[in-house]
Amino acid sequence: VPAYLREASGVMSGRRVDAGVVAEVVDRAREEVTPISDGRVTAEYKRLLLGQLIKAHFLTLFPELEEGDVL
Amino acid sequence: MKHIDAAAHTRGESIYLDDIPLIRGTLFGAVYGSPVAHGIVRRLDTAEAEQCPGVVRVFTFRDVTGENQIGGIMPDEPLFAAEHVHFCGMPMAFVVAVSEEAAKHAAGKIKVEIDPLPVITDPRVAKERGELIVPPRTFRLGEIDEAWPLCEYIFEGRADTNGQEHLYIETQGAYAVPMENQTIRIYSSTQAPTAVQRAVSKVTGLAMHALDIEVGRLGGGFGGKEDQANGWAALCALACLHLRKPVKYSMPRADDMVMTGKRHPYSSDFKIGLDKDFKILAYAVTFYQNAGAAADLSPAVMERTLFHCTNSYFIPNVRATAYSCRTNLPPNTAFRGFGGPQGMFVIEAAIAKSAESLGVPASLIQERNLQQTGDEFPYGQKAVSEARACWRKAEELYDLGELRASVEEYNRTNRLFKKGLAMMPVCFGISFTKTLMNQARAQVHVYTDGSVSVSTGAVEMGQGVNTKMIQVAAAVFSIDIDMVKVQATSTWKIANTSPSAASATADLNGKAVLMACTAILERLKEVAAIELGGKADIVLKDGRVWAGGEETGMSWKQLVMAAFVRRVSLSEHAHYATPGIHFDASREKGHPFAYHVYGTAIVMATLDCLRGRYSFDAVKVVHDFGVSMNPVIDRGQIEGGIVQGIGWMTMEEIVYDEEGRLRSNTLSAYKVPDIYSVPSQIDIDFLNTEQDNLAIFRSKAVGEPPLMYGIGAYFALRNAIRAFNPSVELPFNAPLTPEKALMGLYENQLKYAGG
Repeated sequence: VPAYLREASGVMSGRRVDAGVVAEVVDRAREEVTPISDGRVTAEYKRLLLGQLIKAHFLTLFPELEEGDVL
Repeated sequence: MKHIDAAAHTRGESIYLDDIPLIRGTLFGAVYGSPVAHGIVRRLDTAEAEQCPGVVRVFTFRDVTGENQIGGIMPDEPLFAAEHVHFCGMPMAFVVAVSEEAAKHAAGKIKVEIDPLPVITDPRVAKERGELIVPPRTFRLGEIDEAWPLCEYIFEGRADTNGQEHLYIETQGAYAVPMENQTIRIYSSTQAPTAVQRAVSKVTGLAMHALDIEVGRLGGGFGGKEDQANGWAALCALACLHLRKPVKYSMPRADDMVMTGKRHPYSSDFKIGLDKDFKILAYAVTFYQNAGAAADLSPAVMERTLFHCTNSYFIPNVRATAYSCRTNLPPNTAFRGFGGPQGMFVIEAAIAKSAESLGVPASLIQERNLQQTGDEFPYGQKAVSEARACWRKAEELYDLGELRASVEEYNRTNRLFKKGLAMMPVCFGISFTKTLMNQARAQVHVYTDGSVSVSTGAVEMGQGVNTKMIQVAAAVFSIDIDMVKVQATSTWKIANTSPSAASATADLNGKAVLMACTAILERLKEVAAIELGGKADIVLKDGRVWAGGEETGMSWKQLVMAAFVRRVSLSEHAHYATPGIHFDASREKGHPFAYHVYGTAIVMATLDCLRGRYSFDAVKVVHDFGVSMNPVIDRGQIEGGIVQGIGWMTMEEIVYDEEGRLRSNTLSAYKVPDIYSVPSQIDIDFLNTEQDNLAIFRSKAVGEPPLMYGIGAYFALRNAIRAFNPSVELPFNAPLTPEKALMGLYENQLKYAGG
């Protein structure tokens, strides 16, 4: 089920994307979601993976970002 | 020679259990399994189910005409739960109706009341509570207590491997057909027709000679149908006996996943000691096998874990103890490797732990400790070893130095992706570890038109054993392979068979075919000599009779007819028993294996360090085939084994909750390797060895050994994770799923975040 992460998106409003912003978005998104542990994977992993996918998203769209800084 | 089933498989013409044309009046079964994992049965109410449309009868333990018992090694497994239930899915009732749908629908109307008892799913907990299937066993070599003080380095740790769903494409099933004179023919999807015959005999009370178990082929077995086909056949036979109607049960996938046992999960503790040159001086290991709720084959699986606890290494001082722990899960069972892979994972973990602690590559320790011919296994057998030959050839052929350098260079220049490389040597003993099972029989008929019919106890399950049987007969008679047919496996044709298992099926049955054909050949040669006026030195070559090095003009067909006219037998039933093997379980010493199969794999993985996804770049193998009698089939076995092993080590994660319910009960929750998971490159080099061995035509068994190359996938991934996160404290816990990989990559951040 798709969810719009209002707070995580809000972090970016009016700001220039840099590694610091990405980190904030990741932190906020991880707080904003409420995953559950199930027969497939744990909630902790889902939270971690969400952040990683956000990082992957920005690294793809903003090649000028330093990989090391975003990681 | 190609697999004889290749064309029919490809065209969808091969006949599996569910393809057998139905006999008019056939009824269909559905099993009602216990909804709880452990408890006392207070009430089992089948009244509503019996009233459902189409239902003919509902069977429970009260209807068993013989014994309510299907345990093979030990009589500890009721066919139907009576007073107690011991695992979720344990059969409690068998509904028989005019259609599958009606039976399934009615099964859903059965009601039970069960007083729950405590559920154990963890083998260590079971061991603490004294819940053992059999007493523990210990294999010993040298004097380990005296060796520890001599060790420069000692490391301890724990290693865990999860189970594995067999996921044969054809699910379990049976079709029982009443015959004349109180006999029953059962078409069964089983690796062990005789085991089915015995179990059905016990449950129904019919003598074994009244039961013909027939197996055309299986759509996969992998060990899952070595012992666990028995129950479903017994249910169908029981219903067939009562109703005098054909009864069929072909398991729905969901039932199969919930009700049948899997590869045994193991939890193990190890302690390893090395000298200053990294020679392993001492190795102590304790295995806790999760046996599930009944013995099934667990004691034998546990034994093979002990046999393979040192893998390809010579370790002078060993103490290995194993506990078979009773839990409230479906009885776990045979699975390709049969406990061997679980044992090998632990020694590889112990070596990896040593290497990581010492800051050296694991391969340095591996290589330094590879066994040599004459070295003693912990069970007393002396090795005839190809371990070093395989390793050296892999190193040279695939340029290990260059591969390593390329991984290092890649990791130096890439941040978001890392590569890992691991070596995986394998040593696997061939024979049933229970010596008496190493016997087989074959029946060969030559018909008067020259065609040949071969029956053995071997079950074709995709592994190509029938093709190899044809090769044996065709080679002995020197006739075209089209002249030979292998018949469906049947207990009325060949009696008292061992299961098609332990990688030994082609050897045992092939040798019996060889003996039967040779006996007929000798008689034919005598006939030829007489027919040709006393000529000596008779040889059959390409369908012609030769004498004294010259073609005689007599064909195979003419010779066969001449023998028939002279009333010479054109049939033979031969018996083969592997020579020279023995094992004394009171001392845990002997010579249990006809021979060992060796190999070395180089496994390379690439890990996406952002997402935790991974793929396998290459698996490069040097494998000891002896002299392969069918390189195409043998290559297929190696490729399949590798992919299945990688699945076990990386993505296949069986999840039971604390109540003993299977959560990974669908193919969406239980991921098996698909075409995208297959390594981009699988190179297989044939180490051809000249020395004699007990394999058929010196072509070494190939079914199980390659699965263990997959263990290298775990360690290759582990190395990739460590390349990204060198300080990671990654437990030795397989499968190394993308979840565990990602958690390992970011372990430090999680700790920091309180995760």
